[in-house]
Amino acid sequence: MERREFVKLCMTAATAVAAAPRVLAETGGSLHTHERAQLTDRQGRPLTAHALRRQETYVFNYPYASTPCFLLRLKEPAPDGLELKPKEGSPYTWPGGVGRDHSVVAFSAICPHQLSFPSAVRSVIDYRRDKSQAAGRAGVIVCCAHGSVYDPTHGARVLGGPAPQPLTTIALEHDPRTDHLYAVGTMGIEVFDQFFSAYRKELNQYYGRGAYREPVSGKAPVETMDRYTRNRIHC
Amino acid sequence: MNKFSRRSFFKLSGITAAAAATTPLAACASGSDIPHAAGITGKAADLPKAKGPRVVVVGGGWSGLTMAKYLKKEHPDFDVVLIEKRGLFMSCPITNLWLADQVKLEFLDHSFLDAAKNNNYIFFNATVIDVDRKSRKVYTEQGYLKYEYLVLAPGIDYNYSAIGVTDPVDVNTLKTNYPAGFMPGSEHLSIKNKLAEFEGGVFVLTVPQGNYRCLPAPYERTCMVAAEFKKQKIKGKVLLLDGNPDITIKKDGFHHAFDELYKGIVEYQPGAIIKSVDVAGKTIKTEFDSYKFDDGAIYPRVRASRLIETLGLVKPDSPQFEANIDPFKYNVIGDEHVYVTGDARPMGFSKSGNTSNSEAHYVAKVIAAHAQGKEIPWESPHTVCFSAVMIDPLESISVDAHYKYNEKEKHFGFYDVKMVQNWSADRGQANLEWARGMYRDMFS
Ligand SMILES: Cc1cc2nc3c(=O)[nH]c(=O)nc-3n(C[C@H](O)[C@H](O)[C@H](O)COP(=O)(O)OP(=O)(O)OC[C@H]3O[C@@H](n4cnc5c(N)ncnc54)[C@H](O)[C@@H]3O)c2cc1C
Ligand code: FES
Repeated sequence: MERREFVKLCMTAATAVAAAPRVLAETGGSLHTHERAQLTDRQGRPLTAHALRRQETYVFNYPYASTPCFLLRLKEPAPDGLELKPKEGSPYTWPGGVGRDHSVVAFSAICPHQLSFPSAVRSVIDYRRDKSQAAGRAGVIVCCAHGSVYDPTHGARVLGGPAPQPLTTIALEHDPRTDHLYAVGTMGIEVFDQFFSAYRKELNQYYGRGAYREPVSGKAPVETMDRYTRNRIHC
Repeated sequence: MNKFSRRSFFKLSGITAAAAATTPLAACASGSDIPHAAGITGKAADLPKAKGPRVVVVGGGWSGLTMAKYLKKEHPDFDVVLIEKRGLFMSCPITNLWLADQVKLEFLDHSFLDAAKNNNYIFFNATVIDVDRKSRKVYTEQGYLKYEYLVLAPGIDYNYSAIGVTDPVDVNTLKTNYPAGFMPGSEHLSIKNKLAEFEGGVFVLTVPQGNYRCLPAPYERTCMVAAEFKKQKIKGKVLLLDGNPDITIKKDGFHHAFDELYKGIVEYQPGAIIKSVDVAGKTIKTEFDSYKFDDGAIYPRVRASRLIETLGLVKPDSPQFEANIDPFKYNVIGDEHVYVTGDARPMGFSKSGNTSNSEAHYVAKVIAAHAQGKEIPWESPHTVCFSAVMIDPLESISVDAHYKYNEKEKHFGFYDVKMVQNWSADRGQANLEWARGMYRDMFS
């Protein structure tokens, strides 16, 4: 099946539930469906893929109110069909980038090593357009807590450091007609349960009791990393 | 009663000669001489019945906490008990930053109960006094536990005789008045109090020889103490006596820090091998010199926890009394049911929290595999170590390394080393996040 066709097929499905089985077929059965959410700007207006600045780090919360994801429009198209094999857990086929030039990708920003993530206060994990000293290269996602390095062009596979698995992929849908983007689920190993259990105290404080685990649905506002966090830590 | 013989001990504790003869001691494979069958220690500890093969982990430090959690994750059938003598966890890493008020005490303290609750194992607040490897029993002051597997992760002890201090009175004074601050708890609180009370003069710190706990920590502490001197405008100097010919790790970074940030405050003396300490006269003697001090923290040489020796598990050629284990699988030679991990291991890995944590991830898999009749390939421990050199803002340097076995020389060497010796505020923040991540891995 052609990618274009696939996206079209998905777009004809009115709801996530209907869209999901098609994504599932495409990805070898590894999509975990979550509520479908359209990516919007801060005012809630639909975001278009071409409006994203290339190699800028954007963040949106998905699939839960408190779980941040990176949204990136890479310098180059990100090829699909890559087989990713976490150390523990089932292999899955990464669907590649979306958008007219297949360069838009999204990943959960929670580091699967020991769960560092971008918060309003700080982020030790970030996409680096310039060269990272710790990684020795540019164009990678680096977690400075213990030096894990991920490759966003190839499904956020692990390039270095102690991470046991790639960052969880956020499955995106793209409407080629409107250029709008939707998050529909995840692929790979989810670490949300561990995240909630590790940060329950802080999340309750920040979001209000229990609100941090509300599923995101309808709209998912996107921010630049500069707005999302007060302190971007690079290494 | 001046002569407290074994016989009178047994008589006192009401154990008959016959009972004494059949105690595990008689068949004790550990070779120790503790009358562990006496009184309560001869009874089974008051714990829930094991629901699966019981794995007992001794020591709730960086190694044992990680081990208990991941044993359960790797093999959920295991019934895991963590035995720890402390009632509250206090981190050794980051204490230097706390000395310089960069974090609060809450940052360092964590609950053993939360760790056990979140990870489905039993926390047993007790002290291990002996092990009978034949009957697979581990003895505490609150009774014994039967085990299928036993993991010993008791950490380190200090060796004062190696710096020429042997008189128990002197050892005690040294421990009390100038604690090393490399086993967390009261030692660290005392050093913090010393700093707050110090009015001027020479504040001495020392770096031992050998494979001591946390290679960069004495240099980091020097920087943090010097930073306090600077901030509090304390007149005097921080004297660092190093038993090694030069700074042992992140050499350029620390030399720069001493020269650029703490010029006139830090006096660094390499090659200062301590021969004796005159505690009353507050003088440290090396081969050629003697150094007067007003206060300080004296870090003697390091050895494996005395528990390893008590259990008769010392590797014959180990100068630091470390355990005699298989360097790849970590089991006591000849016993696949007893393992030793963390700073009590004999391999030349850096004695660090990160090393212990990554190693425990691997050894948990080794034991889970053994229980299922399988084997897994060796994985190198991972050492990631930040060191703070400056405060307000906090700035740090770092090292990241793995290990490789040298077949010819039969030892492990550093491999794939990344050293970052220029300090930055970003690294200072990463330093704190490093620790938060590790605490999450052990406690949540
Ligand atoms: C000041 C300082 C700074 C450091 N900085 C860093 C750093 O930045 N990065 C880093 O990676 N590492 C650092 N370290 C090193 C790190 O703390 C140790 O390497 C690590 O704690 C070793 O883990 P362990 O489990 O072997 O021993 P420990 O953590 O010492 O744990 C041993 C545990 O066993 C318990 N125990 C002992 N005997 C018994 C018994 N008989 N019964 C019951 N319980 C028992 C003890 O109470 C203790 O809780 C630092 C250490 C210090 C002191
Ligand atoms: S939490 Fe990201 S590398 Fe450890």
